Amino acid sequence: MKKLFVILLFIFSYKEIAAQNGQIRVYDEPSTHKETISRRDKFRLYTGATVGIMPLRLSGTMDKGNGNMSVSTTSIYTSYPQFRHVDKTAIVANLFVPVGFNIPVYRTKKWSTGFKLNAAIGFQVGVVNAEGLTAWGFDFPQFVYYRRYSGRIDYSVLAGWKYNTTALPYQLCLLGLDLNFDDTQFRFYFSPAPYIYYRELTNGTIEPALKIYEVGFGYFYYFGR
Amino acid sequence: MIIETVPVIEYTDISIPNAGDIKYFSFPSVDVGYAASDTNFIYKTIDGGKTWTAIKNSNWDSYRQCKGIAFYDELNGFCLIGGTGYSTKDGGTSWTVSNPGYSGNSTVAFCGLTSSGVGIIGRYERYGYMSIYYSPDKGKTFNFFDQIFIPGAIDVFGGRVCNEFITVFTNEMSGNIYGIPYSITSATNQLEFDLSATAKDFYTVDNASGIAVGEDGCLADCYSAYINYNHPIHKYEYYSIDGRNGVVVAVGENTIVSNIDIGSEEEWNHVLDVHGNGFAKTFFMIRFSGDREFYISGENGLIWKASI
Repeated sequence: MKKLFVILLFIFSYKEIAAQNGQIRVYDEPSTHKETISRRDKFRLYTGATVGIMPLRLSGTMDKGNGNMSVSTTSIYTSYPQFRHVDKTAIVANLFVPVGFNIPVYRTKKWSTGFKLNAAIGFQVGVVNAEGLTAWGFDFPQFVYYRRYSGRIDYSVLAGWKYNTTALPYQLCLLGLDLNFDDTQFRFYFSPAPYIYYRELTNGTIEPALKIYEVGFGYFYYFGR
Repeated sequence: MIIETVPVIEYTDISIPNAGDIKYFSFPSVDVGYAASDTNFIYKTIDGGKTWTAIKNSNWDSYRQCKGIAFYDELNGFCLIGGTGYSTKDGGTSWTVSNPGYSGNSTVAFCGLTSSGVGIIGRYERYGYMSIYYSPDKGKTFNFFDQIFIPGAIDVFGGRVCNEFITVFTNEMSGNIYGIPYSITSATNQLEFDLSATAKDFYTVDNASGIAVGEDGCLADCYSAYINYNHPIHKYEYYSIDGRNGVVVAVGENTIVSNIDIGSEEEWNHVLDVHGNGFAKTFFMIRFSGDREFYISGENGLIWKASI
């Protein structure tokens, strides 16, 4: 009787363990594992749109004269200029339509890492104190990402760099966060440090003239599975 | 990335308290300088402008403003006050009349030193003639050198000694201006520059070219007789221009401009202070003391020792 109890206990215990293992094995089963990872992060083409806000910190000299302009044969000038140093903030908005490639380099069952290479066309518009900065141009944001998809939220952390060729070309280091869904993605990004244009004074001093920051978000659709 | 290059000046303010407009000055050394206000005072410093002492001569009381001042060295110099030239050989302690031939019918218009140290006085003699005198003895006496004739001129109101040349100005002849670079070593090289505004100063580059400044923002390259090219960048009045080794600076009402090369050759640009502000002062005179160093004088006793 005692032996029978032990055998039954062993059987029930085995079944329970087997069931637990079964759940795990379903996840760990080699062929299914590959399928899950590949579904979640693989080489894919995507497109979408990004909207960025660029605060520009301007530091320079402005003519606060009477504004009466005179015209010579070579130039237009203010008749009685009054040059004053001013610091002010301008705001520029941009909209770009990128085409990019998601290129995973290393994948595990919980996370992956790789590159997101992008090229975009779009335009920027001067919103506040930014006359003359409305223009078409190109944007080339490139990222290294770390993607984690084992939890309830599938997200990627981005670190990257962009080069922009609109009215005032600039480069920025970027940090970002992607929220990933099956075929779509939302992105938030910002520049932790500004791109700085400098002015050189004839006494040898070099000082910041324009600091460009950017913060933005994007929506992307991924092709293929 | 460098987005722009800005011409700026750094300056040390060595202004004279309670002085009038400083229209003439001479700094024979770093420490010793003389400045003339529009009163009948001349101010002297022996410590580079930290302190100034008024020099007054009893003969000057009945006259008004100084018309020029030039010092050969710290002790020897001359000035023009009330139409008369005075010289000193003791740093301004005593002054003697240095132009005994003065008749009273002519007007001393300007004075200066050539780059080789020859003292020059220009005196308007009516009917378009400007007599040029030079001093062989550091301003003690002046000898007649030559006359410059400006056809049709009724008033010849000024002149400039720059490098080895003498230039005189008139505002007659249908409003045109005639500047005449005039070599002290050769009186035959007389040129006329026909400007469209009243000239106030002329920086002579060589015996055939220079840069004129004047009213209404007149800033003109003068290459040869009757040929000039204006650089209008404002309509303030210029009063003085000077330069050295290709760097030229002009000053005037609320303005300092320079041709200092910031990437656009032969372009003139507004000069700012190191904080990026323009100047809301009137400057009357500029003279270079080094390749990039100069003195500027202006309203209310203003004197700056500056560099660009």
